[in-house]
Amino acid sequence: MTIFRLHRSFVVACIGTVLIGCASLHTERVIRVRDTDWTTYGGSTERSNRSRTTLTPPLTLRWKYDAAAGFGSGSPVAADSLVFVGTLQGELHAVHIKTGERVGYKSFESAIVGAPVIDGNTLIVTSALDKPTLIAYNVHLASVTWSRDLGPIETSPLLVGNRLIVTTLAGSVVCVDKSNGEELWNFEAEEQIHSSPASDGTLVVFGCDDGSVYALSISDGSILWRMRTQGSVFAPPTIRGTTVFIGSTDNTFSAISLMDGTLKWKREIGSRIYGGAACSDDLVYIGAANGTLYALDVSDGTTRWSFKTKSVINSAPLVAGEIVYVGSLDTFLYAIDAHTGQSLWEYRTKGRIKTSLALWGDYLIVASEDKFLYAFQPAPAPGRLER
Amino acid sequence: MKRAVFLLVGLIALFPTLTSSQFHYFGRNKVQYTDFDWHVLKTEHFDIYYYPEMKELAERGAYFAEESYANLQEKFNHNVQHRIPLIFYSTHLHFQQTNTTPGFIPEGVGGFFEFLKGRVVIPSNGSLHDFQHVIQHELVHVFMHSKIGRVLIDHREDQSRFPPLWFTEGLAEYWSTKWDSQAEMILRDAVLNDHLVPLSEMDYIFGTYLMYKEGQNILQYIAAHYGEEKILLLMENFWKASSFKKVMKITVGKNYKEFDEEWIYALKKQYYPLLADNDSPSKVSTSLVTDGFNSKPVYYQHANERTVFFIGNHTGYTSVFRKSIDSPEEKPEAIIPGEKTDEFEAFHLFQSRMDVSKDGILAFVTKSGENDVFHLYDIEKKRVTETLRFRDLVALGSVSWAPDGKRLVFTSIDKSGNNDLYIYDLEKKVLQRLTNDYFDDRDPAWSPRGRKIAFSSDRTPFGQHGKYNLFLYDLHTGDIEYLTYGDQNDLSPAWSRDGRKLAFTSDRGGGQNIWTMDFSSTGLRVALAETASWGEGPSLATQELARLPTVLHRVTNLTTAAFDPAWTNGDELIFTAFENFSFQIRMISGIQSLIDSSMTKEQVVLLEKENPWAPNSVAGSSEVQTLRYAGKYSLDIAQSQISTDPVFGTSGGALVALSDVLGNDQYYFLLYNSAQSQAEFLESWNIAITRVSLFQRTNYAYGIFHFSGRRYDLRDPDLFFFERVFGGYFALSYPLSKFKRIEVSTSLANSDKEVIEGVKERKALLLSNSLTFVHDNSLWGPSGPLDGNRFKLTLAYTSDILFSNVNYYTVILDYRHYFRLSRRSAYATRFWIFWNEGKESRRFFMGGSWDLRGWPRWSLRGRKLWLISNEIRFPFIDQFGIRFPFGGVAFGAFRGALFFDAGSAWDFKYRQTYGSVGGGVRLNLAGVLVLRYDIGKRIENDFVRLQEGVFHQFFFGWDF
Repeated sequence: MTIFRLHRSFVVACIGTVLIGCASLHTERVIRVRDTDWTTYGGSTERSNRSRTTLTPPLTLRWKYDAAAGFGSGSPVAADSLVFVGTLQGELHAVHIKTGERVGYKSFESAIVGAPVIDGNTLIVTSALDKPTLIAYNVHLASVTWSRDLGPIETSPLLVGNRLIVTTLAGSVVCVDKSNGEELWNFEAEEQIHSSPASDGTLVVFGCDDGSVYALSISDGSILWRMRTQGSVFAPPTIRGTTVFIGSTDNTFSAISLMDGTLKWKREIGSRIYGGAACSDDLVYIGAANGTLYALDVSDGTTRWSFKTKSVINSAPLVAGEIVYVGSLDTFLYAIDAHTGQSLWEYRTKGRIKTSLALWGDYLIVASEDKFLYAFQPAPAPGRLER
Repeated sequence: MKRAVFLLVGLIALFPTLTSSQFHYFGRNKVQYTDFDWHVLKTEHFDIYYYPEMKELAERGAYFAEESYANLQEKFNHNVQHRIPLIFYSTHLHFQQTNTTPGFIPEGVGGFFEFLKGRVVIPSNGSLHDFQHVIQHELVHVFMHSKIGRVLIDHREDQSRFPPLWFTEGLAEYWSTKWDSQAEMILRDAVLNDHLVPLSEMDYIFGTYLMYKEGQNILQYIAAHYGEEKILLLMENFWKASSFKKVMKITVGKNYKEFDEEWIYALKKQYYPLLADNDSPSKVSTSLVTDGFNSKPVYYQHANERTVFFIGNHTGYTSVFRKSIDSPEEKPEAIIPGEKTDEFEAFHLFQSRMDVSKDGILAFVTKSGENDVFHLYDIEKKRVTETLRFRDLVALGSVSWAPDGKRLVFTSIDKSGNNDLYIYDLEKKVLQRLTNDYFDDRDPAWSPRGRKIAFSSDRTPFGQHGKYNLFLYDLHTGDIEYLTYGDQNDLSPAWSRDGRKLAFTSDRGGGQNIWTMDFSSTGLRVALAETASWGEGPSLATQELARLPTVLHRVTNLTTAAFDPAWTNGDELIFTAFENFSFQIRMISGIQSLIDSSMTKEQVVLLEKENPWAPNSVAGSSEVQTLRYAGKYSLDIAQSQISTDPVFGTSGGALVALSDVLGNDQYYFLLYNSAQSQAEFLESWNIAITRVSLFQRTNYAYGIFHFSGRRYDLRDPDLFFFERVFGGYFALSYPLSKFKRIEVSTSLANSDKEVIEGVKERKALLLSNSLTFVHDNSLWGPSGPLDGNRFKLTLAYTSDILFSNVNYYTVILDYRHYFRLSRRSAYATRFWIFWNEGKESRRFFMGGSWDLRGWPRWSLRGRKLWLISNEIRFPFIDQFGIRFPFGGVAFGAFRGALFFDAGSAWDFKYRQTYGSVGGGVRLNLAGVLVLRYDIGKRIENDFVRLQEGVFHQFFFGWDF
């Protein structure tokens, strides 16, 4: 009998703990977003995957956070010392970036594949199945502000001013008002869309499973140009100035004029490209399924250097000042000299890395297939005490 | 063999007094004829297990595996994070000895991926291209298994699901090979003869070759019309729905039925126009044999009697058949019934061509023991006159007689895995090797003049893509000359009787048809630029200008395919044709007029010589490491269980099984406690530890055990008692052949028995020895054996060597014979005599659906027992389904039986004879369980009176 009482108490305690944890995602304070925050996939609407902060390796692992499910292709996002990450189990987790402690998590309908968008206290979350699939969630009030059923979404939303644009598996590009979710315009492509949209502020660019790269007017969704490749385009585009960089599963990587969709140059990589690119001033970095990270000259696509990992690269690299970070399915996170391609540091996680990276302050956030979120910081200089 | 020993061990572990057990087993033996000295080649992603004789092949396979890995990780957008064990065998015969799977491996299995330990097991068939294909095919399974598992883990979904077989096998084919003429033949036949199975009904052809090829075609269609990446998305979306039909809808936008509409329409559009120019084999040739599967015809004429001999499977056993050409109504006669005896253990239905000498000696190949052998069968005397065995040649291919009838040319695969040409001189008893290289040489045909041998080989540069051309081997010079050269498969050359024409099959232009070349109108062939050396074999005659045929004529234009052409004495060709999903023997006449009127002629073009292709290999790579295999064990089963019984109380325990990566060494640990109170806990441990070794031909097992608890044992004279028994045992099993084995076992056990607590006790130190002979060559149908026979004789002696409380001998005789009445019906008979005689001898029992039908299950018990069963087995209902408005239920075939049983069981005095007569139906559920229902009358009162009314019995189990 005693044993039974102990068991019952234990079970009640466990249930209580679980219920407290999953009741909602609630932040005590208002989130203040700064320009340097990583509020969306790629760190910006151009999806440049670049930060001016140089994150000099070697890095030190600060904490690991168990999210208890796998991660999608979209990166974590971070603002105001909080990092948010969606899981394939449909949970949105908030973690304190300096301690790695859980702030809370919220269960949504289905898998969250794309990166959320932080808009002040509101997080825009997409869902890969069920209804609704586009949700604006206020983390301070712990309530859903609005939601829309747009069909399955496996991409990261794009927020430009008041306009929130999403690409869906139904082949739609939908622009809604970020404040209430009301549809502003809608564009129907010919096939499913697995490519997250990017924007320079006036155009929306995305790839489509039909093999095309589309550019739409952000104001009314009208098609401005379309450029065809020979394979499905799963990768998100990256915009740098007047050029769109995008990879295709036809084994090519292209630079396209943002203005009219004409091809500036095309590189035969010889391997499928599933992930997005990262840009520095003169180089564009792209990982391929053959496990190679290529640094290409933005002007003509010539290879400046390449770096071979042991398995597929299907997530976007991240440029932090003079260093390029990239994860691979070989489970390693690599730090590479952005100019020479020289390997500077590597860290082995316990799972494949197939989620794009995020950077906040001097914290590099990595989601691994082992269900853990890893936070790295530069190691303290020799002779300096680590706090 | 493995199964036999496993069952034996299980039996001994549970019932130490084996000799009294009636749970005896039959079964064929997987014989470990060959002592493999296993080594391990470690590459970046693989542990490759091989034996030294095939080192070069293993290094090439290692290269193919790493190449496939790089290719597949891109296609799957995924990698495999553990090292993959690849177990290579140099021939299919060696592969059939593997212990990585307990079952027998049929002829047609080219390799397999085993889920439990993630092992990939692959043999070579002599073709490096096929080896590469199978490696990649199986690695697709490995990647898919890993990918699907990962997708489900990521989404925290149940991992017990897997895509349907049409998808897994279809993808394995689609991502490992091109759409070839064989696949084309299957689909053309299915579409044109209206037996294409829609995707929505794919379960009806589950596991068939047609399903593989339809699956491949479906995925090819999806890739072409919806995009290659949809294939990947079908896997990445697998978590989204519990049924693959829905996953398909989510990914491709169409459910199975919607997809069927467009896919089947596209196939019809593609294949129906063929009928404008191509013909079904049945429309342009004479039928000789259409039933069953048939191949490798060879012609023989004695006086005016024209005969065709061929390898066929009409009844479930593959055999050599004889058929008169001029008596169409005459049924084929099986002159060499195969797969029942040690001499003719197995035929290679589609692999080894036969030949008849001028003296009427038919040469053919069977597996017999460790290797293949040639048999020489005198057609007139109707008997095998000689059997040729070659110690170092493992698998034998096609054979051809020299014109003098004293020599044979043939192909063979040795332990290295190379398939080369050999000549054997029957008078001098000398074996001569003609080629010795990694090229795959097939189907030699000795020219009627005796100087040249035509053969097919992949030794042109097209060979690295799996293409075969024709060559001539000059016996005087040792030179090899090109006969054809191109990106096609030219196979099965056959000389006309006058040596002027060579018929062969070729897939030039798509389908595989019969072509000829005429040696009476030769031209000056284009000379090749340089001399090339073919491995260690003879040099290629490339410098001289050869006078050889320059024009080829197509003589058939079939919708499906033709194989194995063989000339008659006249202007006819006998060949194997594929139609309506069967391989038929057919004859086509008027060959010369077909040649003369042939619209399709082709000029032989010999291009400038390219260097012979050389396969890549990991040999010499610094990343490769070679080790001697030293056993690597991992868990097979780890299971805990709690059970509750109203009489025996609650018991809980665990079973753990370990084995090495090659499956040669197995350990079993059984532990459970049957205590019913705290006080009994310590003395109620039941432990059994067993080791089984299957490494050598002689298999053995030994172990120790301790069992303690209450028992209800029908075989024990005391029936219900408490027993504590502990001891050890050793069992040995030696297979004489696939069909026969001898088993020896001994056990020593201390047995303390309490029948009535504190009142009737018995102590004994039991020594039990047994000797058993088992024979089994039975052929099974859906509910039980239909052909062959099974025999078991056990002699045993059990005695208490300490107290003399137990002392008895045992004789068990069990004979079952199955007489085939037709393809699907049989008369089966069984005879049992079980005899235990002596002090505390155990009892046998019977009654019920498995033996003496009509009598209550296991109700007749005695130290002696006899039984005779007679049964006619026949098909009853072939298909049974019920269709509701909301769906349907379909059952497999029901089989019927009429039976008559008689028998008795007694201890000391014979009491009476029991019997029964009746009929029943059996239903096989998914190949693993047979449900059986019997109705009839008992024969009672010492076999003089029929039961009033009828009995009904419903149970499960296979027919005896």
